[in-house]
Amino acid sequence: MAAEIKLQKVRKEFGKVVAVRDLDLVVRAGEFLVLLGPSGCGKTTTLRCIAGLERVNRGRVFIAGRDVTELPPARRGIAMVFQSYAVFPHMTVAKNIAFGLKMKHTPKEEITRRVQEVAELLQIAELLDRYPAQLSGGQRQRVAVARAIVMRPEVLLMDEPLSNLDALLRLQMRAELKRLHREIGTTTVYVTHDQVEALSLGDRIAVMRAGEIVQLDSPTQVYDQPATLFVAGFIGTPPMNFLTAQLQAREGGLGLKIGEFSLELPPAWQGKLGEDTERTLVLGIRAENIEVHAQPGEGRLPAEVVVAEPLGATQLLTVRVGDDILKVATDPDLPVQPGQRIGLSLVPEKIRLFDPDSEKALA
Amino acid sequence: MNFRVLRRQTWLYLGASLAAFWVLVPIVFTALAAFTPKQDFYLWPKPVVPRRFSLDTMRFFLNTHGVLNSLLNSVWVALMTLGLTLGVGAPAGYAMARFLFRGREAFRLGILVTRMFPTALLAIPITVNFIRWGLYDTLLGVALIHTAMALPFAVIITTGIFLGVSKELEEAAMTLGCSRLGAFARVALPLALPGLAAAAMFTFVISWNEVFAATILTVQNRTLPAQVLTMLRVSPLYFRFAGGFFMIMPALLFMFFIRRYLFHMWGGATAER
Amino acid sequence: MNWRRFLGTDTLLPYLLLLPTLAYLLVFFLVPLGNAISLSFWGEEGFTAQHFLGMFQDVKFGEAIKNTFFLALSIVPLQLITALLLAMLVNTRFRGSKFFLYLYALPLGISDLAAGLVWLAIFTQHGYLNSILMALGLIERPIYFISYQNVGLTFLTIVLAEHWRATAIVLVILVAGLQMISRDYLEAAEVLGAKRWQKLWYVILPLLKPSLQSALIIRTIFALQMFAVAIALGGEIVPVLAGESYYWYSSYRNPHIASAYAVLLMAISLGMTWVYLRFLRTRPEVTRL
Ligand SMILES: Nc1ncnc2c1ncn2[C@@H]1O[C@H](COP(=O)(O)OP(=O)(O)OP(=O)(O)O)[C@@H](O)[C@H]1O
Ligand SMILES: [Mg+2]
Repeated sequence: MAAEIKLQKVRKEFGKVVAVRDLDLVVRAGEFLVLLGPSGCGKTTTLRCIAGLERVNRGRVFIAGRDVTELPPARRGIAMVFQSYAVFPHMTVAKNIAFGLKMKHTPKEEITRRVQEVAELLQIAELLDRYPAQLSGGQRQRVAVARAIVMRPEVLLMDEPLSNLDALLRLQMRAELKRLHREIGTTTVYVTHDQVEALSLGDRIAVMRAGEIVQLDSPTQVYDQPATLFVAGFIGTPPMNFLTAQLQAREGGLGLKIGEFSLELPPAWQGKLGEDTERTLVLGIRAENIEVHAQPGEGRLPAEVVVAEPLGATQLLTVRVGDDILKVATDPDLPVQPGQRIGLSLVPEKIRLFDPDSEKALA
Repeated sequence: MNFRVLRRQTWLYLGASLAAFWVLVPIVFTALAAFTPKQDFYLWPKPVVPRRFSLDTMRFFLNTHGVLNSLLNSVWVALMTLGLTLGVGAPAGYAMARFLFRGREAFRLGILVTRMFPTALLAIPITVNFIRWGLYDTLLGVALIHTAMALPFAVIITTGIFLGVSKELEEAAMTLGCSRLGAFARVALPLALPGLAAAAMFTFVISWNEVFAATILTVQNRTLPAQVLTMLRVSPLYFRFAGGFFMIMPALLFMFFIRRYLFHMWGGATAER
Repeated sequence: MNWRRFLGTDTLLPYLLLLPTLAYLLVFFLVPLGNAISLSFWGEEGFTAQHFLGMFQDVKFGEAIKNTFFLALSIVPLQLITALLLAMLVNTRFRGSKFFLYLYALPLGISDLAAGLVWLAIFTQHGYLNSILMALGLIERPIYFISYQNVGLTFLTIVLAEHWRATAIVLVILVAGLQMISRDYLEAAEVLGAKRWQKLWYVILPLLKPSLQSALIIRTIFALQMFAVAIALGGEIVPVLAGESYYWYSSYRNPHIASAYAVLLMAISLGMTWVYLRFLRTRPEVTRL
């Protein structure tokens, strides 16, 4: 029942605002794809274009190979879970879930059976006679999901379905959505601006910015090999650290110079950084790939502690290297004071390099 | 409860009751007058509470030539106005609540400007036109002009009502297999219904109360206010009091029914969008 | 493109939905406006100021215009103050405040004619007020509240009746406006040490300005048009502009001069609105009517 979704040069404008800019995207059949990006980048609009709730200005939308660009939402074989849940307040939970089936003139017995089925799947069977006003936020959310999947849609669209839940419930529902997707296997497009959600749920993540997709990759790739400075700076808590570095050719390979500090690049970089080996680059490295030493020393990048935040399992340090500010994680027991000078060692294999002009990752 | 809070409370309730008194007393007087026997009106000083309650005055009022008829006319005109107004205005209210389109702001302003039109300015030329169109002295004619007067309110009020029904609900219905019309009928309409009923009653009251246009537009087919107004100079006082009572009662009843929507309606009317 | 799909698009649908209203407003507002102007400016041989001259020479004209202005000027501010007080009172949300609010809103449903008759029962020669004053021994003979000898008193009764009837609408607008003011602002002001009147003056009133403005405009326009209260209470003792328009049409059968009065009323309404918008400036995006 899972279908492929294909967007071809889809463009949506609201007056002067270009919400979706000539977007190309293929969501594979059965895939769980997450649209991730900052507020206002066009995630919801993209989703609504797939749903048919917005008419695209240009481009085409295909679902299961069928051109649905001109079709109303009802005839696209989609189901959608809204951010506000949009559970009908004047209908009981059972009526809510049955609504779509009723619209399709499904036989009564089958409706009852399927409603019961999904209700059990989502553990809301005992709520079927209640009205939405008598439900908690989490329960309403389940109703919204049940109402969508009872349709056995070819495509399931979800717009920040967890954003209105409290942190604990969100964690629980996240796992549940993952289980649900494994069980029903519907092609799912899931919008969120929460990267943890994206990393945990997505088969692939499409990172969006200003109406465009800047990277479409598996969660590990997006995390470990961000394609642009933007992605690197957006994903991860804390996001990737950036240092201004000078590329240098040396005998036997390439090196980087950060202020007075020199660093040898692994041989894998050989020949991948182009002709010009004497230029400024942006070095990106994640907090967990930086080792902190309480003392500066030989072969350590000197840094100054600005803030130290104990976070229970770790200690988050904000440190200054030259003009750059870095976030690094250490052992909570490491005794450091603001203003203290410390040393950092970077794991060379985990270094990413970016071109400062194009902001694109190198190699 | 300490002394200061107690004193504050006392003042609050005193003020509130005083204002309530100011609103209610005239209504009570009117009711009393309506059930005072006719001859009591010539007593001096008149007992505030009649010596005996009687339906004399009411009976006289209703039996006066033309009154009963005008009462029915008023109901008919108000019902027609209600139907016409919501039929014409509610779709516009829906459009204003749901769509961003070019000219939306201009339309909103236009609606607001129409509220500045004095009734006289509309009623006189329309009457002249109606004479030509054969609508003069017809109930439909009165309903048409009442609709014109109620329409701006209806658009503003229904805009507020539909804004109160989340757009996402309709969209959800559309993703679940409804057409746009189906989504409206199955989701937006049921949810807007109480508000629309309140708007309908408000429209009814507007028509029920209108006197200027109704008077100059009719000769035989008077509405109640028109009938009372034209008979003012030739009728005894108790007739007028009974007339006042009759005009007030249904209006008060309606106000009671829509009380919870009043602020919602005006809130929507004054809120942006 | 099939037509259903076309009509279903968001580009055309809103206009389609507006169409009936637009058409209606065209026939019943724009056309009559044009007609009224032509009625008042057009005579047997084309354009003429004769109807307006007729209006100016009407014996009642001077009095009517004076009364109309004075009535509006005395009623509207009074209503605004009363409504503001009541709105603040109700907004303290004491127990039962909702009940009182609904009570105060009741006169919203009462027509001007009915209100006039209600107060007639009170102010007429042998009415309730005189009866009560007499019973209390405060007077020996009834006071003639409504008479040609006492135009001032008659005027006052009209002000009272109008105030009683139409304060509700101002109240409703102001309460709706107050409800939109977040309690956070007031609490913020309180935390910053504002006293009660300072909160009123520096927080509530400025935020309420759009509501005040719309209430002021609506009330002024309707107060200028008021006529049934005046007729019900005072007959022709206190002539007003709308009333003159009515008499000229229904009694003297002269639609031209009646229209001239109506056009004058409209001009005054527009003028007053302009004055309010001009001198009670709020930022344009918060102006509400
Ligand atoms: N109906 C609309 N009318 C006008 N502009 C709109 C409309 N819907 C969205 N936009 C604009 O389009 C852009 C993309 O909006 P969209 O809702 O898709 O963002 P988003 O990525 O979902 O953001 P968020 O995370 O805040 O939900 C924004 O600049 C927004 O202001
Ligand atoms: Mg969004």
